[in-house]
Amino acid sequence: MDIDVSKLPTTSKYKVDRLFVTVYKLGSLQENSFQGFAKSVSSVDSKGPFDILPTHENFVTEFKKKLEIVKESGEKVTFADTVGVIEVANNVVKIFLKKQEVVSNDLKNANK
Amino acid sequence: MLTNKELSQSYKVRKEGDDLIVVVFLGTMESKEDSKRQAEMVREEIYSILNENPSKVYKVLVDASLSSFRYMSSEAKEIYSELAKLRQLQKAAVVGQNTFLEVIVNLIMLRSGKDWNFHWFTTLERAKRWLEE
Repeated sequence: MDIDVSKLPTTSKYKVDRLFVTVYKLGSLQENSFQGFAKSVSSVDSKGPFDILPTHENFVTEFKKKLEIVKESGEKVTFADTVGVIEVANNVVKIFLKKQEVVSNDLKNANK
Repeated sequence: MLTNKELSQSYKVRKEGDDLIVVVFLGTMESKEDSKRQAEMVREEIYSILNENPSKVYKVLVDASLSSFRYMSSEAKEIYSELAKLRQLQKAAVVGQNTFLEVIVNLIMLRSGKDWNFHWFTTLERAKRWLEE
């Protein structure tokens, strides 16, 4: 008997892969600027714009210009005119910022 | 793997003035083993300065502006983190333009668990001025 593979589920019924993002400020790693679950993280590196979504492969890169985090609620947290390093490992995203200026959200609200 | 001579040419450690230890990194280690051995050699030279007067407190100036760090082994990070715990080392300025290295240095300082008076600079002049303050 043949099995119609097109009818098999390709994604989990349960949400098991979530991005957990923490933004650290270089020079004061004890304080984080943002921490929480996110839908995506977007920025630009030497190869161009990139987006990190859940289950993204592990990687490390140096980013420039803008960094945007879309929280699971849909709210955006944007860091403008920034430089730093981003590390993704097993859905855990660590962002180390050199300069930062939050333009679409203030830091107090970033964790909410 | 680099020879001991090549490794010894990849950094310089010296005492400057009364209370300043200067560490200059000239080369980048590509392998885990070289990175560890370089850190061990740096540690040995710093210890020999500290042991001249075990009660004396020093400032540290690390100049990595000539080195294009992209990699540091976990063993080397552990060695530098242990060094950072020493009470004889109290104030440190690190000079470099490499963001990856800046992240590594920040993590090493955090791992040391000590409340460091530490600052990252992009120019040697500003680092020296800050150390003199």
